[in-house]
Amino acid sequence: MRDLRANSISGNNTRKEMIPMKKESFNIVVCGIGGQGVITLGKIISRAAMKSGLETSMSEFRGHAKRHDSTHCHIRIGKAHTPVIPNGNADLIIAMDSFELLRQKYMIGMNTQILMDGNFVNGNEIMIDEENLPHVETASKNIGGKIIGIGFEALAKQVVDFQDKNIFFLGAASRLDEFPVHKNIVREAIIQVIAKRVESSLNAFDAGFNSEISRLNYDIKGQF
Amino acid sequence: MGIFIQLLQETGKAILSGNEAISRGAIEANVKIATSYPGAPCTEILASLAGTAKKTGIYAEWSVNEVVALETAAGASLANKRSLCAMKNLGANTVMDFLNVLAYTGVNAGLVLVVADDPEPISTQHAVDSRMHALMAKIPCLEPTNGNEAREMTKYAFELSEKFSVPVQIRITQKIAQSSFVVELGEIKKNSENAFFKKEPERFVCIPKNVKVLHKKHNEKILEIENEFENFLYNKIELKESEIGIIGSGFAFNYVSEALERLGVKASTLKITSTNPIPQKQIQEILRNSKKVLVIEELEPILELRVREIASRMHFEGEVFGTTTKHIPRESELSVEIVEKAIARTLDFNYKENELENIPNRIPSLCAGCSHIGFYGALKKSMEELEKEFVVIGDRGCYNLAAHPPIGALDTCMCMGASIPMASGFAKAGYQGNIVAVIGDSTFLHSGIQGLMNSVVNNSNIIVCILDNSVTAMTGGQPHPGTGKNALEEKTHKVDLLDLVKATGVQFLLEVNPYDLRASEQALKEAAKFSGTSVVVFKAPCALEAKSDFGRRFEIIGETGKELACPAIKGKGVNQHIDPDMCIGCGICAQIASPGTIRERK
Repeated sequence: MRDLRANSISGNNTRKEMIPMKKESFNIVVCGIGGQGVITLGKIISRAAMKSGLETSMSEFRGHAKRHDSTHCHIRIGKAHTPVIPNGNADLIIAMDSFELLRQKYMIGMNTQILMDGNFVNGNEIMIDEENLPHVETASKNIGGKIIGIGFEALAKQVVDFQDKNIFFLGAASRLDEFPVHKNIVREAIIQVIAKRVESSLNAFDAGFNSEISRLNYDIKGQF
Repeated sequence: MGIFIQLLQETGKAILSGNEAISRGAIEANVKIATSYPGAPCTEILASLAGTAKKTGIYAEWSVNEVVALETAAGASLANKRSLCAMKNLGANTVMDFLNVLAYTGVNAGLVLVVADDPEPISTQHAVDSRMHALMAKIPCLEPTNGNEAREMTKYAFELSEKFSVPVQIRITQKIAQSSFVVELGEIKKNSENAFFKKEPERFVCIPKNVKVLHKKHNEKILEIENEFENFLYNKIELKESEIGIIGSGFAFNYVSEALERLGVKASTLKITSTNPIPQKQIQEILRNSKKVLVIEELEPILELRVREIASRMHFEGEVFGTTTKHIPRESELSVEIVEKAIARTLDFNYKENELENIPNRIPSLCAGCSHIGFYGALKKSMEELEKEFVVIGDRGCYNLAAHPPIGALDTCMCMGASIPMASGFAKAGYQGNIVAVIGDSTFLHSGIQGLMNSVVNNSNIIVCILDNSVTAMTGGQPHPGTGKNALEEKTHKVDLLDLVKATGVQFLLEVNPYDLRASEQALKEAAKFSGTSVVVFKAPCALEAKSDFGRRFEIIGETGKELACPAIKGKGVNQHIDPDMCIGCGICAQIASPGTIRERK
């Protein structure tokens, strides 16, 4: 008798429904697998937000670090009571593995923008039916949100070290109008968080930032 | 130090995880001794204190196990140095014997015990609620709800510990331990007093005559602390004109704030961060002000039962809801949605839930080129060739990842150190097959050696396999007494595992290289023939920590006929191929696959 469906069956439709409202924070989900730099990206973004004088928090959902388990983190920028983003409240999802995006489907709301890599890691441990993967063409319909495909392999592999794929994505994200932190502050945060490999990281960031996202979306279609 | 640099920033703001915030609080409180045994989700506390120790002068150690960690911290406290001991909830189970006594004797300098729970659980074998440990030991328990509180309450915990001469527990959960917050930094105290100890045998020698007195004193102390917590700075009551009152414990209260805001519901609220003893007067106030009281807490209904008790004593005429009424689940972490649903239900509203799709979980794998893959390959082959049934009694560590396919070799995996004694039990029960206990080096030193002594002395016919990679690999490569360095990265004496095993009097002992599968199989077969306790040590460095590379690469040239466990091997059946970027050239796969199907690349 508690949920809506059960109510309609029992004919008790008088009970009012509570619908949670979205609040003011800008919410980012970063997802991928252990070893891709998911948590590092979260650390950079939250550091950059703090440097911009914004309230921020981040929560980590680590699997077995470095052992190819699912990993994601939530970053909230602005006023929020918990570091965990409620379902359907992501403003931006950075998916470094397209299969992991499926796992985050419930975070997507009306205006969620999604930066997605067309690739996914398919080890022995998990055989994914490729039909069900979120391809750029079908993902918008099936998953919702506004999907921007980023084909790291096709676009950046020549100029960016594979290890810096996460930073490349951050560069592309920083370019979005809605991204709440200025590019220069993100670059400063990268320098602070990534003590080693600063140069190649910044190179990856710039490559991501300067890639024409809308064009990317178009160009990349054939790549998925 | 690198990654923990923010921890030493003088003032201002820093982004710290809950773990780091606790470390910072301890540094600000002038802690001198820090001990721990690695375990998610709070490994980072000691890691960050050890990583900054050169600047702070704190003595930080990875102890051999949690009991040793707490006893070391307690010794330091008695010698008048503030000490902090951190462990996951499982460790807390093991320290209860000592903690119960320490609660009676009390401490000298402040002693703070941080226990991290994993309600989901994400990386733990059970989701025990460590607030119960505090209740059992009858010690104060604090539950910070964010990074700032974690820092401030750690400092306060040291003061509380000294004011009442009692160990203080801080309970955190995964969500606060591994979330990051903007934390306002406070001043770092830098005074140093000499260690000293005043002899008080009537207090510290816990023989029955003394304990009788200490027990009574301790119970009186708890009542005093109850008064202290009635006006506790970090408990927060807000009374509203509303039929509903919500009481939340620790991190779970954050969900209450967020849920009320999102739902636009007005409610009286009480945030409780002092879980033991609880603020009784504030709870009474909420009860007086509300017709319906909802108690929000993760795991056990500890707070709820106390609220019910208070409600019944004051003849509360309204209703109390919570875990026992199934408004809140008793297992797994809470979420904003769960709390929203509970609030809606309490107020007789519907709550629209989205149905979540079930996405197949990824299975964590052993690393590419991990020597454990070689060990399990040899184990399966030798045991199958012996044509006798067999049972594999596992333990806690990376090697329990072999429970997953395609290895699927473990029959049990319980708690730290359980493998050898359980195997011994199988033997004494008369199990006719081969009985294999599998335990790693860190776990063996943690609590495996006692089981081995017991097995040898009682002549249990079992095969003990010690997988020795000289490091605590599962939690990120922390050193242990067999590593040869300590938490402060100083070179140390190395406990010789073979000598240690020999000293138990075991009559069959072999050391082999698990990358050599034939030798490993041979050793296991011989061990199986031996009547009595046999030990085979499989020695090879952790491929991940040592960044092993054998300087060659392999390729698949035929149908291997096997599902191979190495994550460098992609695809199945005829599509099997080796990712050259991941392959480290160990050659285990070539030894497991059908002959001639995997070869070294030219």
